[in-house]
Amino acid sequence: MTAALVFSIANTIALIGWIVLAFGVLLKRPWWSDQLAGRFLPLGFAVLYAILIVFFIGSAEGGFNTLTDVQTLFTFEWLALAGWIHYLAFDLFIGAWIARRMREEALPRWPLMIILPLTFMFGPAGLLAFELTRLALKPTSIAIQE
Amino acid sequence: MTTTFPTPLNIEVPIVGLWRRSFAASPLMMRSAFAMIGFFAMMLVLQEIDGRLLNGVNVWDKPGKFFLSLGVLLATVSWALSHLVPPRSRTVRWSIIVLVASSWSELVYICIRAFRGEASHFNVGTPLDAALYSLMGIGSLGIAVSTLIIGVAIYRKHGGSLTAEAAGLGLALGAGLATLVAGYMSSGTGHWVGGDQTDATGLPFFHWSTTGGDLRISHFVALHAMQLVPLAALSGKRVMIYAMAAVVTMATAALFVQAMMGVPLFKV
Repeated sequence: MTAALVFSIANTIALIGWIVLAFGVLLKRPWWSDQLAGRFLPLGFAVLYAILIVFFIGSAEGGFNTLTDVQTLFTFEWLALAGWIHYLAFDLFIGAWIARRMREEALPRWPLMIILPLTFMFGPAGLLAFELTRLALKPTSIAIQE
Repeated sequence: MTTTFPTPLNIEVPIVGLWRRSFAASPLMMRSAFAMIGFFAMMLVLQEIDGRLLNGVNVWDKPGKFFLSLGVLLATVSWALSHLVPPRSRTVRWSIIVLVASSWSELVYICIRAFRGEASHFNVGTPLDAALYSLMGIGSLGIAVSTLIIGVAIYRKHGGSLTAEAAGLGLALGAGLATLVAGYMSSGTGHWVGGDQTDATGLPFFHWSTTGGDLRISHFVALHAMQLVPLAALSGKRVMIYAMAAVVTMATAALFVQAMMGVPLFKV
């Protein structure tokens, strides 16, 4: 298998994961959004990521200490792919986590129409949007808990 | 004045329970398993001392992998046996002996070949080599069949325990599928299909080919049904163990077909 092929498969699965998450929120099916999109699919990506790291981390140039090292690391296609799967896994996980927090804190669902696409496209920006939404709609919910 | 000490750590550590019940089920197999893991570590050290190569990797690399693999197998079978409600039939008792004896025989043979810097599998250079290689085939069949028999025995007497059902199913499925793949490999000329006929350009540790097909990958996945199917029992749902069994079977088939097409798992 080529890295390009695994990339397209992983992207397709991630897209399906986001659709599952959206349907889970829309149809109020917590199992879909929390377990399937929020747990099992990210776990699948985690397994794939771990396999790629085990096989390829030793055979690549570069490292994590300088930006140049990181750029060098990502010139090796299998590790660039691993890095991309890292995004896919964590973005989906955070998306599902946000949906779950919104539900458990009894916040309305409509802001998710903006927050989830933001998380899908620009991960951390979605997380920021989530915190801002909490602040705007229910300031008490952002208190830091023990 | 009395000093109160904190109560001794009395926490149930799952891994300790796992080890205790496996050891109680078969001290022979667990001792063998630990010895094999010890030999695996020794092989790693030996590779630093003896630099001879075979197929592009150190001669002691292969014995190391077989020690690790058979050690994990014996530990897994021991654990699975701890779920077999006693008494054990004569067939099961004999299967244990055959399994342990065949495993050690294979390892001794592989080590002698490695010591001489020669291939162990597919070594049919002289009539004696060919005879020894077919003996080795009988040894590996001994491992497979005894594991299969133990698996079926556990599966048939699971008595409603989901873990026992999964343990038996895993052993039987793993042994069965792996035998199919191994049987195909041994009927041909090796595990490589096209690509570089060397371990040197393979993936780290496993040495699976990155340039052509490699039948060892499907053999590996098939064997690990023995751990993956019981893992699915943790979900507490019967349907999950059969789903896992189906997934492992399909993955084995897919990886087999991929290797037969000469396609590497990860092309570099």
